[in-house]
Amino acid sequence: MRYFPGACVLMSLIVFATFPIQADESQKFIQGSFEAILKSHKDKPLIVNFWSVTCPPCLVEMPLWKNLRLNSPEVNLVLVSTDKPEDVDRIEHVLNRYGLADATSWIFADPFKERLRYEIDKKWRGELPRTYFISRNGEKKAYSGMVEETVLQTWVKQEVGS
Amino acid sequence: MCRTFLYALFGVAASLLAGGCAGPEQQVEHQHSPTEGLAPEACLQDDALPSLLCAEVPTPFVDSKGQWWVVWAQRDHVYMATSSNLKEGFSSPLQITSKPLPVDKNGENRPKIIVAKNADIYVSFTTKGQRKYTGAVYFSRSIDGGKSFSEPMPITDEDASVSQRFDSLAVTPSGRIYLAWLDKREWFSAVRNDEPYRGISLYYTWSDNRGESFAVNTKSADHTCECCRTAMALDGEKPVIAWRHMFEPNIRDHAIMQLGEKKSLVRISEDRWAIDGCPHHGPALSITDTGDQHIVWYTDGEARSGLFYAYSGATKETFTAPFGFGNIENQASHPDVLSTGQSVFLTWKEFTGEASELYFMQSADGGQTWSTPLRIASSNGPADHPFLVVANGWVHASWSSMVEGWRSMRLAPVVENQKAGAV
Repeated sequence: MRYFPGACVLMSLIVFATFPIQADESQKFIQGSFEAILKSHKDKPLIVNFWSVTCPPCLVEMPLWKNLRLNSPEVNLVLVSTDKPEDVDRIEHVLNRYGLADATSWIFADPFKERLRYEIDKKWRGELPRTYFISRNGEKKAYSGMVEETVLQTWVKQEVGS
Repeated sequence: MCRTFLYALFGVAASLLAGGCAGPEQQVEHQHSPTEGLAPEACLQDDALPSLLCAEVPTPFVDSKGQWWVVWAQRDHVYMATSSNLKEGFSSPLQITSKPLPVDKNGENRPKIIVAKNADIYVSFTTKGQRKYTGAVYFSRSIDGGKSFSEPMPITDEDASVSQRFDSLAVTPSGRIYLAWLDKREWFSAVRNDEPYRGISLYYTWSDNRGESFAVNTKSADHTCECCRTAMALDGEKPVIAWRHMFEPNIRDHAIMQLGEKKSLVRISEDRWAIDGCPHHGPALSITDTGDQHIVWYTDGEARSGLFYAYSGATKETFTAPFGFGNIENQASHPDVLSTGQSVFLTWKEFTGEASELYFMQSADGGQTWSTPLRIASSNGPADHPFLVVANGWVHASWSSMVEGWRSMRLAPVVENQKAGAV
């Protein structure tokens, strides 16, 4: 052991290798989270989809996101559930079921939902699903209701050129 | 190699135990709980006692004698309390549910209470179902003036319940109880047959024996929006319901009809809100003694966006041009309306970016001209949908917020001591 300075490196590797599983667990979406998400995906095409377990059209839309991840890995996808942290089991059940278990997932963790929405977009009045298309140059487009496949494909094409 | 791996594992364990070699930066941020400083400390405890301070989605009813009845959810139960004089406070809360139930408790889905002329008390609420987007509507009654309530019973007559949500409750002057809700049975059977079905359906039932039993579940309309509250009010003995409909192909505009009278369905306004999504934002309805229907709703349609008010013409086949109110920039939302004679009152909430605010305005000429909106309350935390009720000749607003709990505000006198409307 004494002659094994690589232990820390290895340990880090192991911990890093283990971490993604934990990172896939939903994170708490609070004030500042939207900004943090935008920042961490800066210069990459990003789609942020707000959804809820109480919104049937949101579920109908889920296969679209699954396909997006399969076919356009260059586009970053963030799913944000507007339910409550205590709904985590139902949320993860839905994500699992739609093959999105390892997608980046957040859950609203501030009961003052108006405050979260106001920070994300003053014009968003809470209808779901609500999707933001954020281009590499930071340009943001909002979309209420299920995103049509053609709308998505056009945007993806424009962003990744394929 | 194996040994190296074991060493490494050991190293990890040792390092972790010793708190040595730093691993990757911890991702977990130590944030204050978002409810910290918002909800009263007492309400955050697991064993918080039922109270109007900690009540979730408290909903009021005022009977013809001016007695207040408030029903609410708290954790897995439904409670009720009553007051004959708000200054003296409320009775001890009475638990209506005998066992814990996954009560649906949000602005759009909330327990409701109504007191009949014979002093019977009726309560309805929705529980979350096992499957996603499903639920069950329950009914309970007290025939001893609120001393005890019957075991809540599901209202469905299906062998295997599919889903009922967004219930509305009303009791007519002669004592018939109406319960209406949005039901998924048509949608599920269409799915089973691989057929398309737009939205879900509006169902209702009634009881002529003080809620001891209910008639067969009856469909009133096909193709409703799935996720917005319904609003029922009475035109004498006739139950009238307003809801967000789904006109072809996906236009979620509002409709109104007398329950069960298919020909009476009227589109309130051509807002043309085409959305394959959930507004989570249903209408409110009030009907005067002379049968005038007053309705408020939210839309983000092609034709208009924001909160709107309209009233029915003499034939009830058309509504006035929508009148917009509230500050759209401040998320004006979840309005309520109350009408009595020529007086019409509106309330709604807004969000300033920091605080929730409650607004009020009134019309003395049946909804033709309106007062300036008045800000009547504010809260630094999240707030519930507001309601208007008449008690002892005064219009009151009922509003609940996380910081302050439930409160009522006396706002304006009404000309006559009007009966309270349906909830």
